[in-house]
Amino acid sequence: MERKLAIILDGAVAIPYDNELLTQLVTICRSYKENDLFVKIDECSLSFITGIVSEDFSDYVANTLKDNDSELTTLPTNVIARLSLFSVYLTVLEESDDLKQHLYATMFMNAMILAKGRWNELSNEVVIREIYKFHITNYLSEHDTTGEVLSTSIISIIAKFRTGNDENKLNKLQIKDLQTIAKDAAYYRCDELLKNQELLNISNPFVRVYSIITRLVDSYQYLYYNYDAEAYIIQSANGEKKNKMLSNILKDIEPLSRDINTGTSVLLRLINKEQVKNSDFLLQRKLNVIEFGIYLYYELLTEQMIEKLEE
Amino acid sequence: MKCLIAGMPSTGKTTFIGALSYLLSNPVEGQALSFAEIPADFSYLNRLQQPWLSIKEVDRTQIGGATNIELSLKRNTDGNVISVSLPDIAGENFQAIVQKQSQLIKDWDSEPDSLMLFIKDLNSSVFADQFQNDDTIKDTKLPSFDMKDISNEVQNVLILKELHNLFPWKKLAICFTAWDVYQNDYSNPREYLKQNSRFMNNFIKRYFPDAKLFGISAQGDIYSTENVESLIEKTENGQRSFVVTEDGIKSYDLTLPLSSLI
Amino acid sequence: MDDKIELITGVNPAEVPAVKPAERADNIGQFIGEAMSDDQKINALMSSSKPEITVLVGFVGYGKTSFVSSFYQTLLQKEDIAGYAFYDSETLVGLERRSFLRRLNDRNIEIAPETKRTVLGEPYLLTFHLSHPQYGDKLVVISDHSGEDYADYAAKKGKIADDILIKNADRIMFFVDSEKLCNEQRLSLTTQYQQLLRNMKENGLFVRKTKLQLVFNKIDKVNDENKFGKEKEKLITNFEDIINLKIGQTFEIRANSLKNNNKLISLFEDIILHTVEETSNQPQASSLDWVNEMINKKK
Repeated sequence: MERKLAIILDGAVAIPYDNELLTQLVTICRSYKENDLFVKIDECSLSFITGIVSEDFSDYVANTLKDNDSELTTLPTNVIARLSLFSVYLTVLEESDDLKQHLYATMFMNAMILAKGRWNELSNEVVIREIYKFHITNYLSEHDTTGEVLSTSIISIIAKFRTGNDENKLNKLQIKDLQTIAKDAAYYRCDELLKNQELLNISNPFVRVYSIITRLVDSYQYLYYNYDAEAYIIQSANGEKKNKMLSNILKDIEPLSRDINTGTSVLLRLINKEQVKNSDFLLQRKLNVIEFGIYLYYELLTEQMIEKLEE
Repeated sequence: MKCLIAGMPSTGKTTFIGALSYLLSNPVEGQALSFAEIPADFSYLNRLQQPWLSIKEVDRTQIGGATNIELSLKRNTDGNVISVSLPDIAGENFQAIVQKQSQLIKDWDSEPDSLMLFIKDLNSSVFADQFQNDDTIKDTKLPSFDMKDISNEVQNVLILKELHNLFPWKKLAICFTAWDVYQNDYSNPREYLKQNSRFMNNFIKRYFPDAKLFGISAQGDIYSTENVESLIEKTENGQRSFVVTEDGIKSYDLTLPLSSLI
Repeated sequence: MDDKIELITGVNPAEVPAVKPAERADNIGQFIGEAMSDDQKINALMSSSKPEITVLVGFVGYGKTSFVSSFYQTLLQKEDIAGYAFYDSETLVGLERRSFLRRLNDRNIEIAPETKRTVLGEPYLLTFHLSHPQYGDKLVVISDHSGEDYADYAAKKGKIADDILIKNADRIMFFVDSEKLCNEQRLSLTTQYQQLLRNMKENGLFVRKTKLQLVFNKIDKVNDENKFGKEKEKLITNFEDIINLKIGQTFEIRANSLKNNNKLISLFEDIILHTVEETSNQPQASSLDWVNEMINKKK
């Protein structure tokens, strides 16, 4: 990991750090908020992407280096920003739980909305794209093994059930079929939601997509199906190609906003009128309807998954 | 509220305190601050006031000491009473910061909320030909680099930096003194700063964007035998000392800089 | 913070005496804000981006200090250089010292010339914090070692190995005294540079993508332009042969005068704008925009 850190810091420091300091910094980045990794990812993602570094993290780095009698204790803000990226990278790569690993990466990627229009200000494209490999869609496509069943007798079996007796007679294969049917039902419900006239009649495309996506994710009884979210969003957009400044989009959806758990998300925080570092630039950026929908969708999904994990 | 009044030697800090103490007792119309309670022991303030009242240059503040002046002031707009603590410290002690000889400042255990920095004659340019009179120097020892070779603007920036490291005060007022000399050439103190020290202007805008700038004339005019009577009359009429704000507005309310820090 | 407190810790009692004569006639170390002499301290400088390091190389009297002083004076006097305004430095007194030396030179005071220079081992790192309203902040660091230091590097093989900064410089500017290049001191100049360049090469100094430039100073003292042109070309070829690399740009300047000196100002602009160039390693707009990538895949 020292080598990776040296790569991340390349171009940030005038005189490359020696191995001893690199090793210390790896340990520091690993140990920072190690008991609260969701908070760590949120904080470090924002620090790196906005360049406005977390004071907590800066102080932790300085104090730990001081405690270790390091010659260098004060690190410049650009270095702290890159250490923040390294902290995210380290946390993702070293997480043994598959789901958490992908959630951390997705949180980071959701926060990348803050880089919209200023991509070239970010360093370490290669490292960032390594983190991208752990987006939640990859987890879902890997873990959602519920297959398709072309024909099954499970429907007629269940239709004939008399309660109290017959449920226990299902064998393993039938349970598998049942799972498939359940998934079919879930997808059906999504399809039906997307045909909801009341929602489709909303003329403002951003409000329409917001309404549909929030209801969609709320309706998920099981979060880990590999829903074709992009298709749903494109469908909700209904061919709309309009671009709109985010500040105006937020104004449009304000009447609909409600309390959403926003522990980790930029867009949801802005919708909730919470402070987000360096968001002024983002608020002046234009998003098209589908972009807006995708960012929103994955923020909502991530929040729900984290909430379920913590239950 | 603790306010540190800082500035190099002969920048008018003591004259200001003397004039201020007079005006707090004899407020002009619309003055922002006045005494809520006259200090029980006015003797130190009397000593500072005397030269100002007598239209005489003030004696230099004793080097090596810090006399703390405690004032109970009333803000006239809302009647609020504020305690203000102003240490009177010789300019040499601040200048000594640049020479790493500021034990007095370093040991000062008060934590000021604000700083009032007095600056006089910013345009003592580093580019001035300081060796003008030294044409005849030949085969003599190389002149040593000394405090006088560091420009006024750099000295003041260094003082600001080090004071802020020592005492992270929240509010800053910069007072360009002897404004009676500049008032015809500059409409406001920001213009004066920009034209005479772009670097210091950039420094202040960067680190202290909320700093207030003032042009101050505590004396009211350069002292000469010709204007003694006129200055006495102006003192009696409350139109002697004056302040010019960043907006270029002239006022006889010498408490404005202090009031801006409350 | 501790360094700063250390800098202002006085060693004298509360009474403030007049400035004491220091052990060195030039009172180095007496003031806060002196030039720095520890290369590693650069890594501790507060900056939102990597400091841009320019190392000035040249022997005694080649004009490095005059150049730095002119750079400093220009930053103080002008509103900005190439849009960048000067707002801070950790080494203000170091810069003021160099201005002082320059003023001595300007006055042509009849004192032994070698005493009017930065001296061997004197602190040499100078910092300039600059800000552009559109492009943000930049920290420019200039290394102005004394000419004696470089004479030492030329004469002693291993000496330059200790210089970490020159190994990590973004730009190295080799100063040449154009007057000497055209007179009987030419051989001494070229020989000394050959020794220095060989030592630099042996210590692996020319492997990074460092900008290498030649600055022909004191151009106002050149009387024979043809001769100068020839000697200049010879010197460039000499340099390139030893270091096995092409010299980037060359400049012809008069470092000690700001009057009508557009060439000098252009060089200052070059230092500020082009010491670290934007590389193609910067992300392209689309490569980090995973959302649009997702949308495009769907299409």
